[in-house]
Amino acid sequence: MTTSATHNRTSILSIVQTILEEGRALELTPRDIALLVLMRQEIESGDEAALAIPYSTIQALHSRLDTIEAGGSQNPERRLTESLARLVKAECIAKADMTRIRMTADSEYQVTSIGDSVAEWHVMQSEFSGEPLTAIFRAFISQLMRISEDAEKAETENDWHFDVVQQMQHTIKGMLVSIQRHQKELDRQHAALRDFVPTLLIQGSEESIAQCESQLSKVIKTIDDLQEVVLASTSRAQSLIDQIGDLARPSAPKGVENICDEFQRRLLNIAQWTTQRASDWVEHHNVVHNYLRTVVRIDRQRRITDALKRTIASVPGWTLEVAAEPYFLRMREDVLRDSTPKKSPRVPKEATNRVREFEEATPDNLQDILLKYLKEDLANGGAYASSVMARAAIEAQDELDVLPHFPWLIGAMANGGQIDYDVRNWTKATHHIEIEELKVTR
Amino acid sequence: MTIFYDDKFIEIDLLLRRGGHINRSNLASYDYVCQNFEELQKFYGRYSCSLYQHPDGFFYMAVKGGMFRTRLLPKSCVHLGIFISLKARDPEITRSSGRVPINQLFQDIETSVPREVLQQVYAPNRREAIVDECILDEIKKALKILADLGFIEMTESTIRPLEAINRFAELARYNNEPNEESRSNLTAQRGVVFSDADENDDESEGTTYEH
Repeated sequence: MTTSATHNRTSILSIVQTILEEGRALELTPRDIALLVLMRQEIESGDEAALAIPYSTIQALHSRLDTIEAGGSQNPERRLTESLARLVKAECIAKADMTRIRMTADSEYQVTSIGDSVAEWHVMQSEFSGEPLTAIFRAFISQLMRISEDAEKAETENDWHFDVVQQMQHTIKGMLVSIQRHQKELDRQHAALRDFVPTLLIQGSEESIAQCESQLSKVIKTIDDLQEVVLASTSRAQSLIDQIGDLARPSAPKGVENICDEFQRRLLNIAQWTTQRASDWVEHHNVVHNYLRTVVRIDRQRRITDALKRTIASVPGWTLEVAAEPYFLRMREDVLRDSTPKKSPRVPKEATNRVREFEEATPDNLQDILLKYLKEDLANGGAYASSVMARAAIEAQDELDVLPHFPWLIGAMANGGQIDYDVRNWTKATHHIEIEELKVTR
Repeated sequence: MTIFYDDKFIEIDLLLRRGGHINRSNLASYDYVCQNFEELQKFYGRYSCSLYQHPDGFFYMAVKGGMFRTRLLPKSCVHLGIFISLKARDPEITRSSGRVPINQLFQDIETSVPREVLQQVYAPNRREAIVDECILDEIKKALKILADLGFIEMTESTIRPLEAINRFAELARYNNEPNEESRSNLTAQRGVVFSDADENDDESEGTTYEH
């Protein structure tokens, strides 16, 4: 870091400290800003030699605000004094005379450089002429093409720095200011339209509907404008930036890669913003058109709406019958189940008090039978699960009783001998039981 | 060429069998039904059910007398459906691109509907102390059912009425007093069941029937 850079940082920090310590602020009301804009306009349009405005002129400008702002005529003198005080405190205007003047009417004010900048910014904002975003991009692309040509000719580090990097930095700033202004204006227009459409729809007259439709067709033009930017302009700009990046790669001049990345990022943001806004506008357009088609055109007298209003004030005397086929039972393990524990069903009180009778069931001895046949077969050299199951089933009361013991039998066979992995065919053990065969040898 | 092997058919079939509606907002399904409407109509005709396209555009199935298991929507769903179809006719809805915040809906229903009606519809036979809580719970449940059946689209904080919500405005088209002919049309084609036509009204709503 150089000495001058360190020095600059120190002085900036001391300025920041002073701002915080002195509690400097720009606290202005919309009326103050409006007055400031009028004062600047007055100075610019008047005699070139005049740098200050007399109080009487400010009074006249202030009264113009009253005519514009509804309900703003109460105690104008006091409001003017307060506005001037705030503007002076914010250092947007200063008293032009150096001596104290007793009579307010004799004082003069001049707009300071802060005041001038604030007023100019607002004038610039309102000067948005609706220039299509495509026009902004066209200018931007022509600048990029020129920079690209310079990049082709650039040979030294200095050429790259002055002819490419600095120009790109300047271009990106200019483009962002124009596009941000455009974006803000579009957002403001959209918000205004959203507020305006319901007032037209409430009127319900042919004239108001026609007005509404014309507003919507203007919306479509804006959407076209936006889409054109997304599809054409940004891709062209991106390819030019890629071109500059490719030209820079062999010599790798300082700063080019960063500025190219910054450009790409900004373009991406603009494209995303545009896509998002286009989708918002289209959605709003569809909703309003749908409303016109299904409500306004069909129910001009609002009979259905009135009937619905009456209906909600009472219990409905009808319902709708809809299909209610059950959901298919899903037995896959990969389907996530709701992990919240279910409450156990409430048992009626009588049921809990009731005396319960239990019947004791004797345990079956099928496992012993299965083990007996398994040992017999193993003693003879080898045992098949189907054969063991088949013989045990004959001794069971119901042959299906043997089936629940099959997993146990597999365990017993695996422990009792060597499994023959070649035998795995499906085999009928009994008339009703078919199992995957398992063979073990001693 | 049959449609029965199409993935879209499976999706739509399941939706219709569960009482769902196919709105324009689901463009792929909507387009599929438009393209195959006749074949689908014949198919569901074999189950003695009818697939209809409502004048407002959406598709739905009338199941009266058919072979599918059916259910009657509970009073809370019907009342809430009517309320949302009324909200959908408010020009203010265009301001929010057709969406209604759920909190706003709760407030509106509370201020627009008499309390005794709210109590009868959403919290019948409940103790006074817990009525408000029950009403809120029941509205949430009804919203869920309406969303599942494709009457509305619901996110965590907003709802968006779909075209099918107009099924709850069927009677209002007749100024709430349909004549005999209209009543039979509503019953046969629009799936409307009048309380006086159903003997066990209170017990039957919300329950399912197998045919």
